Amino acid sequence: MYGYTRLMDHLINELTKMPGVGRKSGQRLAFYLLKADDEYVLGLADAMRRVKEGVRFCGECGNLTEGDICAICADEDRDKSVICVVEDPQDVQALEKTGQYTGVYHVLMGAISPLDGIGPEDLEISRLVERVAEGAKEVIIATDPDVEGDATAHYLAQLLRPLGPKVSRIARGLPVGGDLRYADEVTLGKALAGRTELLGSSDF
Amino acid sequence: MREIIRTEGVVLKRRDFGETSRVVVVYTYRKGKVQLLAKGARRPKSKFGAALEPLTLGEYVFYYREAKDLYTLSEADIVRSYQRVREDAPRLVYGLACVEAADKLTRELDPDPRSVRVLGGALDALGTGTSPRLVLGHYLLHLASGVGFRPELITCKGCGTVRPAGAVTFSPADGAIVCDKCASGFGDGVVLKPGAYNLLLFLSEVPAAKLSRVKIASGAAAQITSFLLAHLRYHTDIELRALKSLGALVGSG
Ligand SMILES: [Zn+2]
Ligand SMILES: [Zn+2]
Repeated sequence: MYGYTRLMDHLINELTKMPGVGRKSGQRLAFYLLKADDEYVLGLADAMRRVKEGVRFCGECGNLTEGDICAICADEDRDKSVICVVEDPQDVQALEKTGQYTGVYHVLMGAISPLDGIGPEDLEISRLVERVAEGAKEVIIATDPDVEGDATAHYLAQLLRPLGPKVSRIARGLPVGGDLRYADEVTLGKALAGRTELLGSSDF
Repeated sequence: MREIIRTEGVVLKRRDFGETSRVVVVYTYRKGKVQLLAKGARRPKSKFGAALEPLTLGEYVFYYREAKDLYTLSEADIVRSYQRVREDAPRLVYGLACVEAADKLTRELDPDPRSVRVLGGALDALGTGTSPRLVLGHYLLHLASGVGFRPELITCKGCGTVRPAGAVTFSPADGAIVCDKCASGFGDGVVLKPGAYNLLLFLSEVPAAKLSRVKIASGAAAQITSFLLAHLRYHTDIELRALKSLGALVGSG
């Protein structure tokens, strides 16, 4: 059996590595690119290259930035004593859309997932501890409303509470098991406003 | 004819699949451990809601699609969500350790309704005031027995004494206890003080629901858990990651 051509087959293979792109979609995209204007396709390739070269993680909070520090950390009007902890940069976007939050963020780059072998040491936690120790008044934990998010919240609360800040978690009411970033801004805004303080765990 | 299965089970773990879906591993009464493809499960308005979270007892309806080599989940309803277990750090850690052990010690499509019931019983007990460490010890003991690694706790491997008095040593290699007098003739083992030994005998005889009545010295439950982990490690190579990565939440690893 013959494929299309060596170059087309290679492109289809590469496209199929993307999330949500199966064999058929890969072929459809490859043919779309083949038929599209040169200008568009070369512009797209250039945009991809520039993202890889120019976008990095904020040295302060881990959010995306093209400089050393992200726009939120650089904003003098944001309250640096309130830190909202999220799993991914997409969650920062979701919370910004609520328009209600005036503090800064900390991006963990994942959540503790013992069953997948992801422990606290695999996340951006030491930098968070430093930031909190520098004098945060409140830490709002906005990890996903699922088992991994719960485990992460418990872990952070236990770690950060002795350093002095009030540690709270955004309210339940978010659909359990869903990703935070898919929640609509009204629900997310309410969850942020209804955050509850995380106190010590029960004795056992 | 396509077989449609409706059964209760406990969610052991799940992983993302594609952009918005998940594959959920459920320990079910009727089919044993199964992998279920839950389409669209990561969308917030997914019909599956929270029924796919680990540590959930639910009712699941699924059917087999050969092309996918997976069952496809069509309905999921929560029977018990164990919210109290999730909201408390030590209970969550020990709960995760229970489902992790169940996942690592069972094979797919090997139905064993009794083992599912024992796991449900452990989660029920974790949701009460019972010591979570004791629940894990009880669960590991019954899980080990269920999968063919029942430790011999009654009779000394060396001299045959039944329920020896004093401290006993458990020899993982022999999967049995030895009494104080015989201990030197066996290799390395875990020493169980009389309190821990008696507790272990008690655990082997009662269901998890009875554990809330037990008053224990905190050291005994810890000793039992580490003894059982050593036993399981010797025979199966399993290492419980939940205890390793979240040990800080429960005082000691
Ligand atoms: Zn930043
Ligand atoms: Zn003996």
